[in-house]
Amino acid sequence: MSTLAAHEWELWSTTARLVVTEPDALAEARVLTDALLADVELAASRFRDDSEIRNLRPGLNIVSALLADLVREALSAAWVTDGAVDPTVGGALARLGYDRDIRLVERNGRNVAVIRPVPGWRAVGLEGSVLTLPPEVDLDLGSTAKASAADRCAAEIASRLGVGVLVSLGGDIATAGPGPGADGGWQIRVADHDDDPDDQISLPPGSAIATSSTVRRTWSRAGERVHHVVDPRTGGPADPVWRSVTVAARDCLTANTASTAAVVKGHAALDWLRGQGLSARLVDRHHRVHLVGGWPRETGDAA
Amino acid sequence: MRPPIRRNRRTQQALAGLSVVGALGAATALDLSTQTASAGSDSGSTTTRAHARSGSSGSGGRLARDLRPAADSPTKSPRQSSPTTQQAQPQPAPSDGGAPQATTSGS
Repeated sequence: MSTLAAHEWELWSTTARLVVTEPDALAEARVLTDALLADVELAASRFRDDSEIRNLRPGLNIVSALLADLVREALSAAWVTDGAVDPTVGGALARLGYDRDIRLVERNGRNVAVIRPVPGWRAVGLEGSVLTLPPEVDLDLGSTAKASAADRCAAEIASRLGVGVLVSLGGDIATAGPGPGADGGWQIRVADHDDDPDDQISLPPGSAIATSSTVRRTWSRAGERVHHVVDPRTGGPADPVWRSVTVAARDCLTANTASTAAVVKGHAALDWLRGQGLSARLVDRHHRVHLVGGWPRETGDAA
Repeated sequence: MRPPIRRNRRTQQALAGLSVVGALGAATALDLSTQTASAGSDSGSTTTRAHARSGSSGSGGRLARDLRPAADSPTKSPRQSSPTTQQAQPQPAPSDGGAPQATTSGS
């Protein structure tokens, strides 16, 4: 049984958490994490004037290898979800009022002038480091870049320092290397909102978990509550069939892609997740829990 | 005892790079894969898909073939009465196999 060490700090208007299985490695693991996250932020933050993504222009853009990777992952996420997770939702999010750090979003803004389908990921071209954007396409990599960053941090720390590690970026959790405890699993609490039933599971080392929610990161427009998961088909917030969706997968990019897609897919999510062979836990609008695949069952859970 | 593991076994056969011109004229580099659900998988169907090409850096195309279920499913943990401890400074946390080491929630 190993002794764990942890750091927790504010990041991207949420909480980052780093846990390692060797306390002596914590400081260096934090340095590696900070460096990698700084790179991701500079490449992909919608809220920094000096980020690469904010300075993209219509037409051809030569982008860094990191941004190319992040865009490539976002396009792949769009592909495997049949467009449910689409990186061209940036304009839609801005029209909904989410054009700045969530803490600064106007809590009771005016009505949204225009809600329309997003341009669509197929309009984006990427060949090597050449990113092609049509006019009026604003990329938002929020659904994939944070999860990818968690994966990258965990892999880098485990590889460089030879320790077991858990990296949580706002609840997007990636692990790498050996796990802690008698069974080797990482103990993960699943708790999206105080009003919802929570859970705790043991996550196998080397795997990941992520939650997407329609009840967190919310604000109001003309008295109507809106959330940040956009349905690309409408350009508006996804129908909140699910209060939250949690998915376990081999990596956090997959987990977050699937949880976000499940929110967008609404009632079709259960069959879609089953078809993907994923383990998932969904909380519906009536606070009922639905389990998919290998998610461990608990007495009293709805099927 | 762990629950049965559901795995989505699919035969991946990358065929060829294919350039598809997007709706607004932007060329999107795609690969074409044939995905055949093997015995024991969910649908038993064969689908053909195009997907964004994996980059040379290795990580860019992690989703390019498919979503990737974990090799092992999560298992049930014993219930804990206290939530995750907030730790502003480095400190050892006991690994007793029960206390949560992190919390997942939407953000």
